[in-house]
Amino acid sequence: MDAKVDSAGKVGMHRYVMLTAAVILVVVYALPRVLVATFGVDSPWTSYFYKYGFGAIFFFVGVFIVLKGGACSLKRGHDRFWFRFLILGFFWYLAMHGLWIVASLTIPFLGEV
Amino acid sequence: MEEITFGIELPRAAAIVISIVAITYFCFILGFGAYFARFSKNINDFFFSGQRFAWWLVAGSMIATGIGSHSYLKYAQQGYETGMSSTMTYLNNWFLVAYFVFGWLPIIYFSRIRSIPQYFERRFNRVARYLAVLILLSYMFFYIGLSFYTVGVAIEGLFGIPHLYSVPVLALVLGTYVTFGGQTAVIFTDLLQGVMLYTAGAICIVAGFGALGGFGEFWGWLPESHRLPFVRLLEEPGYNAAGLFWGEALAGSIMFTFLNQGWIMRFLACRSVHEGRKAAFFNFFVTLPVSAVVVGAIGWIGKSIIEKQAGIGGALEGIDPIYIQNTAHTFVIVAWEVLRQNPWVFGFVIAALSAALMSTIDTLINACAAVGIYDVYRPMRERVHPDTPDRHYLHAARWASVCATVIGVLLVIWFVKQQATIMAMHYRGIMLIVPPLVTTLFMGCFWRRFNAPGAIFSMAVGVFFTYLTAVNPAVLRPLIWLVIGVEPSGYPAGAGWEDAAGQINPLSNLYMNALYGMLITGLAGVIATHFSYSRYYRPTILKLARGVKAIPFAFTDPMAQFMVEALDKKRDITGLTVDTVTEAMARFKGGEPNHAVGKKARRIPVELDDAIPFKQVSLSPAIMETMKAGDGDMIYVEDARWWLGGLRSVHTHAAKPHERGRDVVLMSKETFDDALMIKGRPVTLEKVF
Repeated sequence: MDAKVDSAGKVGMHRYVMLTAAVILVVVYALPRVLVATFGVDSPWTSYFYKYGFGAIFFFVGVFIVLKGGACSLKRGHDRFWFRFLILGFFWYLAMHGLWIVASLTIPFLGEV
Repeated sequence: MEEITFGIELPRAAAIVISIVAITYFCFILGFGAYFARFSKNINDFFFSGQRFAWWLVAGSMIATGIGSHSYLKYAQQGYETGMSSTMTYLNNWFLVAYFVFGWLPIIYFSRIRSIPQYFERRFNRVARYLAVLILLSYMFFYIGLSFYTVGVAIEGLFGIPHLYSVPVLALVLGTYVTFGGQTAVIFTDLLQGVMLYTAGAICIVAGFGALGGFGEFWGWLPESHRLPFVRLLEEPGYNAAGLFWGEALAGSIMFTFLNQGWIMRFLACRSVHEGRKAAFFNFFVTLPVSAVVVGAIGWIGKSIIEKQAGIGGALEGIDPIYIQNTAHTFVIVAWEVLRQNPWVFGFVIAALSAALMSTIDTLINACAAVGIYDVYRPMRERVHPDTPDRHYLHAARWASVCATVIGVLLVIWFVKQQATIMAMHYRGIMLIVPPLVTTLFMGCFWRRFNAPGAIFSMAVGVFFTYLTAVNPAVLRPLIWLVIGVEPSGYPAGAGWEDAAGQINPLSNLYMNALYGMLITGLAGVIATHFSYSRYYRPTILKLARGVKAIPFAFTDPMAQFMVEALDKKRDITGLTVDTVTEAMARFKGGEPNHAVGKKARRIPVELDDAIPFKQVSLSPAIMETMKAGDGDMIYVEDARWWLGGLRSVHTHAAKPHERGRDVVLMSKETFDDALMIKGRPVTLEKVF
């Protein structure tokens, strides 16, 4: 009985991994093309979304792995604190870089353009 | 070839003053580092400082380690050329923080891993360990040699002293305090040098803003392209957003945070994983952004000054006009001018520049020695003399530090002969060396099924194919097409993408070798691992091993033995993968972890009682309640003076509470001496778990 469950679980897991890999491959192909078509190759927003688009994949896959593996348990006091800091940190960097670009593009340059 | 002048005419008197300041600084650092030699009693102290330090001490010492010797020169140049996007390499590590703080850090700490190759042996097998040693030492020697070479270039440019003389003298200073002081000396000198680096950077930035007339003027005169935090997707082959993400944010960051033995040793010097996480988050959240500003700001200020000069039609008030013909000289030219050619202050800045070099190299030398002892010498020695005392290894560790320093100095000869800039040599080297090791380690940590055959095959295949990209870069073409998605016609003209025939060549992207190497290594690992679980694997390997053994060469016997050894799948890898961290914690403690969050017990007097076993303490029930501790929990005891950062401290276990009716700590004389405590001084207690 156990062996059957294991076997079924493994098959399910393999399918899950294969599906995730396929989705990531499609995103890797599509993301740069969509960004270049939308903003143009020279826009700072292309670099911004390229970095945070691919970066978010790595970041949230990492979050999923440490939660699923039990390395980070939200039941432990210290882990919960660091986990919140981890997520906030990602969005802090995301917001900070976004605002930085806005400030760069909107405050006038004093010299000759 | 690097140019060896820095674009300023240094008066003789100024050169003498600068030399005096720099030499005084060197002597001070030498004495400071040598003082801490007394705190290295054994091999564990020498390399890991007894795992007792507070997070702020470790985080502070990492400031100087993170700013390499070439950082000031390289990032000031980059800041001048492309602006604030010079911060990109410092601000892209957050994507990997989860893997590090919840995965790799607890794995190495709780499993008591002493070196990266040791992890490879325990996770995989001996063959994997030796392969890891080869790759890791290549990386570390490359880095030491490049750092020595960089400072040689700087000294030659400023004072006209050739590498032949400057590098050996510097090596002697560094080698002395690392050899005698070990990790404790490295941590304390690096803390001091980190303060020096930030102070020097702050002086230059304030002077630069002063010369410009304030921050508003600085920002206003900075062109839009130089204000942006990112370069264009395809700015230029050596610095573009797409390449920086794959090469720096992934391969480079994993190498630095997971595989840099010096960096890892800092975290292993922390008193607990919780303190290590504090140090890591502080580093990613505060140190790296501040360092990015400190090393790049002079370039941004230089650009703003030049734009303002052009705008107002002459020099800025109080300083000479600035002209930068060779951007490699940006830092020295701009710093010299904004500091109003003051040789004393400029001398201090140059000393700080040297501090960056020294702190990078001292960490690497100590790390090389650790690998040399734990992964090469000790395993060999223990086969012949299993009862070798710890003192012998401490002595050997000092000799290993000397050897690492000498090899680094010898490599400078090779760097001098290279026809490339420092930055190009740096990235080309790193992108070719690191991918196989980075990927194999990552898979080992986060994929339990990954095994020894997979690791060995992936590293061997990864090394071969990564080097293939240097010989035949055309293999990168499909990958570049996939991840960048821009046709050659869409690349900016005149940005350096053209080849000798004047055609756009996407293959000149400096960073794609790393991504290619990582993908090939990963793919090879997955295939080999899956094959190793099939029924065809065992007979195939045994047949191959018999074939290898039949070849009449001396090395074929051990090779066949290694192949058979790799068949063993019953290895205990508990604690070495991300899904077994909880078990590793329990093994580390020697019992079930106690995660209840308590408070520290501060300023508690100590009484000696030899009835208490070594490395145990007996506390009052009230203190146990304050800390939420129970019998057998790990208790960290340190001198109550927080600013010592744990220099006088020890890890113990809680014995049964005493009934003396007052809050005192009972411990044996042996434990007291082991902690380097001083009589009459109270202690602070903290439950680890």
